[in-house]
Amino acid sequence: MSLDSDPYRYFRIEARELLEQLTQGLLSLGDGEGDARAVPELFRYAHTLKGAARVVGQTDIAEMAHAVEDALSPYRNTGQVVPVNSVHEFLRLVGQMADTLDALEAPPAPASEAAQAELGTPMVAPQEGPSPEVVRVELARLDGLLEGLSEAVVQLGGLHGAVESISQAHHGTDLLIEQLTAPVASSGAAAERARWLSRVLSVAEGLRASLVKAGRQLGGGLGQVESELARLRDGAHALRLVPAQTLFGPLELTARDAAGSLGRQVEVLTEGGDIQIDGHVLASVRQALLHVVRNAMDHGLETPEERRAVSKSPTGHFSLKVQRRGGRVSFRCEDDGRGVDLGRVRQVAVERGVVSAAEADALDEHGLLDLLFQPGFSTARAITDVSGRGVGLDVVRDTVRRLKGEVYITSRLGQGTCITLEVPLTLASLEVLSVEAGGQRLLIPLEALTGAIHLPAEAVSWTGARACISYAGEALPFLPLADALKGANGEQRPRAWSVLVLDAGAAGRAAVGVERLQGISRRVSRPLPTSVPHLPLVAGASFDEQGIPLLLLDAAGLVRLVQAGSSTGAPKVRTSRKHRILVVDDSVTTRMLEKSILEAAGYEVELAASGEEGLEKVMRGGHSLVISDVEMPGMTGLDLTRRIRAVAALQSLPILMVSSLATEEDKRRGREAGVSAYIVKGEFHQHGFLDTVARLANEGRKQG
Amino acid sequence: MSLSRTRMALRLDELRDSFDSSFSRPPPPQQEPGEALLRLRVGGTPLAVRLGHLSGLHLMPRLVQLPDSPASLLGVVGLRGQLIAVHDLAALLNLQTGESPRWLLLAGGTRRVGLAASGFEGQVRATREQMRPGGSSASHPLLSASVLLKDTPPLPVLDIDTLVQKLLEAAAAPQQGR
Repeated sequence: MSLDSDPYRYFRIEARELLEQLTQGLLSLGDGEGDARAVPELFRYAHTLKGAARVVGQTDIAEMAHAVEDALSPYRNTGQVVPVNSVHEFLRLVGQMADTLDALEAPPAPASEAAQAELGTPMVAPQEGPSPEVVRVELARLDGLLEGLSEAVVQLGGLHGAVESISQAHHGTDLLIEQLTAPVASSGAAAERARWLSRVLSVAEGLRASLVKAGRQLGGGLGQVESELARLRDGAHALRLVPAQTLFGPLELTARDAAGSLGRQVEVLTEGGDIQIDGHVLASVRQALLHVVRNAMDHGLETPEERRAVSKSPTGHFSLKVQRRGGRVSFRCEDDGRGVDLGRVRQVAVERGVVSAAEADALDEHGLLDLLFQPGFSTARAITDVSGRGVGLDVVRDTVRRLKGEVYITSRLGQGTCITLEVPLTLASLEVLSVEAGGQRLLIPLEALTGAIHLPAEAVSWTGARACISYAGEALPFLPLADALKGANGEQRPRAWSVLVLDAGAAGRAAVGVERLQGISRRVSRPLPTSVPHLPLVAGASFDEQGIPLLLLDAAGLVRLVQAGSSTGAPKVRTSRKHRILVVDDSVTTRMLEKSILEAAGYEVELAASGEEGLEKVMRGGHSLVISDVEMPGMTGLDLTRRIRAVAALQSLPILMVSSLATEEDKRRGREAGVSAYIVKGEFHQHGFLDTVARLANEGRKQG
Repeated sequence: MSLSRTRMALRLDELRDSFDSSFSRPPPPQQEPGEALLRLRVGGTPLAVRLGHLSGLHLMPRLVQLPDSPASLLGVVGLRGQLIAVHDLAALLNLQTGESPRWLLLAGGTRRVGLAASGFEGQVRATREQMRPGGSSASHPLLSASVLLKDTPPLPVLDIDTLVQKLLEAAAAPQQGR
């Protein structure tokens, strides 16, 4: 792309860097970490940006940079501390400049065919991307590559010795032929023939020596060149990797900007900045994270007054934790705000017709939170400059899915929300264990490996296709890796297994058996091509010395497969659902008694020790029945019933009262509040109780 | 002598006239070279692909199978340091499968999607007149166009761009959430 066709090409790169440096500097001033000595540097950045913007005619950016420069001027040489309010104002201006720069980077809106015809411009095939992606590379890494290249050239030079030896061997062959075709070879006196034979032997020995030398030089030299080139290839791939740290500045700026405009205070905490991620992934994730940040500032964080009222510190916290897990990287965004009001999500979903009342009733916490990712879904009562238009979380999910990743959300009312974006790494440099299974060479991420042991075949206990081993006092599910990958039960079992114990974090632990361990190495893994659908067992691929792909296995996918005990495919999603019953009672004895009876009858039980806790849990959904005591301190069972019945989506949820209050009047009051059935503690019989529970729970599910 | 000189003069006049008049004649109609197509054998069936829609044709490198992948996805190969997914054309076109995939076609532009064919039978050229647009009698919607060459039955032409697009869309479809 020429400068004529893209006049801002270099300005964008320079301005982006200057804005990043300004942001970092201002943030450290704002935190009180930076000192006044940083001001001249910030002044210089603003000044340079102003000049560059003027050159390319970006007057808006130039004026804003000028304003920053002007305002910094008084603090430049005086050593005076820049007031925090001014820092916030500077950050706001930097944010505006970044927005203007973003607009400059946006691809031009596609002109309609008719408009193009009018202009007489030919239709141009759309480009793959709006502009070439740029990545900044540390000089040390580039120098490392250049050194490696020089080394490879030197090693290649060493192979000239082999060429010389082969040339000597060639000469020796000529001599040998000459000797073998000499007249003395077929006739001559015995003494002459003896001398001839001695000459032939000497030539043959010379020939052999030359060949041995050439072989040695070639063998050693080629091996060195090969490994040097492999290192160079991995190093060149790693140039695409950028530290996650580069995300933090813009996100912190956005968080402060959004919080400031909404009258909130926020402290941003970051972790995992040194993790290297493909620049392309980072650029895509950055946009998604900006939405998450704005959403957290608007919907999550409370105002300082609201926070004080619930005994929280007036300043809210937002943390971003970047973690690498095998072939994936997760971005965990957590705030300590008000959390998601699931009752309101349910209500809004029904009101807007996203789901029917019955469907909403059947949704559990996960299902309700999932609604937040629906396009246009927002529980915000008012539209603000920051969010609330229902645009945001759906964009987050779309972006993440485009990268073949997933997004997860959890929330606790009053305590905060956590949104995790997990995307596969398109390119990752990681330590792997190379193994052989089913005659195939495979790679396993070392970070998922807890142990590697050698086990005789008898140490594996088989029950049909399922097997387990004992490892460090724990029984672990086991599957031969070849069976897991090929989807078949191996007919022939080896006499001993090399067993790998994998720990996939939340997915748990499992063991796989391989035929051979081949060693540990650092490799650059690349993603599977775009035309391959998501495969749970494969995280990516690298290449062997011959350029043949080596599959990098996904530890979590493997562990899940082994745990499922299936050798014919990925574990199936459980489709049947147990009845989930919420027991609300302030008496621990009653709670535990009811829990044991219900669990023995096959129900899943959740407990709450008060009406308030019960309400919070019931709002998360997923229950077939609520069993509650009537008399409880604070919110009584009847209050709880009324609150539940006030939610449209929960009007048909069965509620069973178990109480010592036995009068008809008590029962009437219960019925009026919306109680479905009433059991008196004094008349408590296990069978009668279970019959009532079964009837109500089934009713609850039917209505759900 | 004079006779031969006269003959020569006449011949010269003839040549001069021919040369001069050549400028007044319209240029002769140019033969359209036609579009280049590769003739392949897939699942025992001959078919053609437009050469312009391909970015490479290679002998199949060593295939590495992917676990738990669709049957039409044969695996991945390494080609000049790039990882290429190889899809079985026979399976994608509902043709007879089981032949060994000997040839690798690269399509999809920069996204480089690999397609496997069992046989490569040469290159043909077809003029616009020889190309027939889609008909409903085709064995597969992506084989509805055909090319009519002299002395041979109609040769189905694979719509390789649509096929690649469908593969990419299917792969990008969101996976089932947890």
